[in-house]
Amino acid sequence: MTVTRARDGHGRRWWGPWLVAACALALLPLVSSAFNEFWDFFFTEMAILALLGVSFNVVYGYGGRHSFCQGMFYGIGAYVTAWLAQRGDVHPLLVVAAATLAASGVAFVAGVVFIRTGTHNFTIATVILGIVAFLTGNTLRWLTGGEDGLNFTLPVSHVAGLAFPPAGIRGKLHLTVAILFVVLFALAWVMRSTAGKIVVAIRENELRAQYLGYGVFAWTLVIFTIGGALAGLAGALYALTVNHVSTSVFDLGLSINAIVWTVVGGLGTVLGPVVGVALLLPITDYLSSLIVYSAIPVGILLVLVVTFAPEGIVGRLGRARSDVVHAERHPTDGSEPVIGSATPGGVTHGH
Amino acid sequence: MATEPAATGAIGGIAIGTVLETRGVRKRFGGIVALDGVDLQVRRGEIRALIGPNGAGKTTLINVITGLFAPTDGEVRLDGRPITGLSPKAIARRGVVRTFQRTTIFAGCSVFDNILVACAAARRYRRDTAGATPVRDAAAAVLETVGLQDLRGVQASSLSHGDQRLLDIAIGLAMRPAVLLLDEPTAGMSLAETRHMVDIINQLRGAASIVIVEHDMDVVRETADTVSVLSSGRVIAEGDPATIRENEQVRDIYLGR
Amino acid sequence: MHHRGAPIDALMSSHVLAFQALNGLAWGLIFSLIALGLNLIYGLMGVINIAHGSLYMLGAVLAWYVVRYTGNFWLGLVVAPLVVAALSVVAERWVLRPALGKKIVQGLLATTGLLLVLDHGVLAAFGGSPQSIPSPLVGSMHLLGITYPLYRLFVVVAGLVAMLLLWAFLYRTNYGLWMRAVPQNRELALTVGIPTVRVNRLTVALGGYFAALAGVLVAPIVSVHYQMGFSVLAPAFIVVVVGGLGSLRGAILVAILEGELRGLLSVAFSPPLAEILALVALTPILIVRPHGLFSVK
Repeated sequence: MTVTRARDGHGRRWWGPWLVAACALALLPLVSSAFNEFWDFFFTEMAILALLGVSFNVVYGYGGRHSFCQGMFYGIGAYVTAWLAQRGDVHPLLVVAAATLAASGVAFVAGVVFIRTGTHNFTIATVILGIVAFLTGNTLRWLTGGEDGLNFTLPVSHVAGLAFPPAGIRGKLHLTVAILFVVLFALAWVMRSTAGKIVVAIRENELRAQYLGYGVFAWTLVIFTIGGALAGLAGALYALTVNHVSTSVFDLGLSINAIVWTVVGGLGTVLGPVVGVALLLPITDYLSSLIVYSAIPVGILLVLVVTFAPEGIVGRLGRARSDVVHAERHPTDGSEPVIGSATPGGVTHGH
Repeated sequence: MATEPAATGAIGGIAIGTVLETRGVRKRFGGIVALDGVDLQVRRGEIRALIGPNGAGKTTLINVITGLFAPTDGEVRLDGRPITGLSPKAIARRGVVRTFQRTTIFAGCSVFDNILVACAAARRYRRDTAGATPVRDAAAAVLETVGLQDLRGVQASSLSHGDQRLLDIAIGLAMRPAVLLLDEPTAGMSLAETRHMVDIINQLRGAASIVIVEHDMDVVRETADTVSVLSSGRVIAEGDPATIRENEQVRDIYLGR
Repeated sequence: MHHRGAPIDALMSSHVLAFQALNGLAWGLIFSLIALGLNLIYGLMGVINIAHGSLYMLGAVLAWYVVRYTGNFWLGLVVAPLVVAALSVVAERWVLRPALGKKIVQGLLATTGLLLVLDHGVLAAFGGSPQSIPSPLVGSMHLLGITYPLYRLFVVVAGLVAMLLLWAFLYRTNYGLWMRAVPQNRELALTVGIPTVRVNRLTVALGGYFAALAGVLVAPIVSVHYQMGFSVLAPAFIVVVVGGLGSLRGAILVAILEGELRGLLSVAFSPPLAEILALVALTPILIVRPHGLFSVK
């Protein structure tokens, strides 16, 4: 049996690579000036959908609860942004904040109602919520504009000298990438903290966590609400980027895509959703004009991932890189050596 | 070695008295009577072994004490205060910690994180936890106590069975429990591992009150101050290990006469 | 329909009710066939087969091809489900089996991959525009005071026969016994010597067969297009869950209930709205019985 070293996260200077990435991102405005609008939009969409993937990753990859309704929170974030924007008199920052809050509010309520039903039924409940949101969106056309949707523009205001929302698509690219970076960094930081370890422990063994005194329901609710907030934020960013929302935001395919990207990229890893989106979005959205019926190779890819790399791409790379040690432990009573400990020479028993 | 009960000559001013008590606890599951009036008094700082044939109700008793289900009748008291029918979470927060028959660890977490989470729980929920030691240091100390410090970075699912059970107990220890209920802690362990477990349990004498459900009579002999024998849902004998060993009635139920 | 005199309204509405009730029964049976397959696959393999709707679609599409090239719908009724069953066996080996024993999301992912391959494969071969199959049975019959299309009546009968055959298989054969036993206790099944690989294969084949059969039966009534699986996937899924994952009896009952609800509601509401309401009406059951009506677990 091979021994796996867990991703410990207790190492010093773990934030080193993040600092480098932040510096690289600071150069983004320089790089993006070479893009044409197509690439601006391409990467903005990628960042927004990566954020949606992150929201699923938080709830399932870290929290251990399957959620099929992240798309619903995304849609709520987008639509609240649209409705408030149409009023014309709300500060844009407030609009985005309200949209995020609305999505997290719905997540909170749904969580309160459904988390207690147990893991299995919670999943079912999120599926049904997603379906109902989709069907309702199309039925309440007067509210949502149906498939044609609503058009709007957010009033622009200036925050610290910068326009919010940014005027051109390039500015929106910078904004969304910056937000994504901050979210990822915060996620990495939290998951390395004790609170993050507790979340993972609850996922690993809810029973034991309960018998240590943890209020599992409360922790799960917080995680689910945060997931809803992130999805709502992604939806708000989407809305302010394209200035248009329609019921396509409630499309079930979006929730499923978020799941697919995250699992392919690596569940429970910080960068998993980003890798997943970066790999699959170009294929599904853009190369479909070049590769006819591109969904077919994507479908095959999914099956291959399940067969060969169920822990996702990032997970697989992580496993290859970590110390995998075969060692034998030599028990003191003279019985057969037991493979399974990491330390040659064995665990010090009995001092 | 269980030579002197903790009630006499305990160092550090540990109070004499009953820390955990069950009074007339009964538990029915439909038509099955699992517990039929269990009266148990665990003295503070002692190590109590709970033995009895399969189906005697030992695990059910632990389940009732730790809140998995409420008893059909009777009550459970901790330090004289009733805890009957409280949720497992609430009882754990009061310092009553248990382990399970099947190894119940956080398999996807590192060994260190397993303990860290428990230490964090102790810090949050146990009012009498030791002062300002950072949680990480407390976790490291627990690992040293049980001897798993060299495996701290290993994922718990990779450990050998014996080490996993050791980790299981260590998680319980990290909670700094007032009462520790161990359900067959040495099940499936090798001789060496069992010896190690016995050492750890004996080290804890005085620091916590321990109830061990055990089938291994050697372990009982080497750790327990008092043995309570459970059969068909009630305590039929109680005494020190030597006396119990001689007890005719106990021999009967084990040999099925 | 809305602005005639009252007595005629009453007469019309009772006719309409009877008509929709029969429609509901037909749809309920169709959903039963699909939900049963989903349930069997989940119960035996722990895999949620998202591609089940695509198997249904494949049945309809293959039937269309048979009608196109031979003009014989009944041939399609026989052949199409068999072809899909064979395809399902291949899918079991390469798509479902890798997901066994892993987290549930892996099964979802793998079957999503299958869905993509099937749906877009059909899109490539069949095209994106919906097609229709002429009804093989023209005319109607007088029944319960109403005039009901002959073909829809056939669908009801065929559905009932299919269920009966499935029941006979599950309760009268060894394989059927194993298929009922394994979900109850997988480990025990392994130790007792049940050939789980063969049982899994048969389960998936059966699931595919009945989904495709449902697709063929429905093809003359609805339009055949490469995404028609989605319109049955959500209801089938909800039916399975509300009936209780692993419970065949539950799936059948809830499917028929849902079909009837939808049929009767569409007397008063538009069909899409009726669909939503029928599904929403089922969800309170989950609140009262979170594991579904007849949960095995």
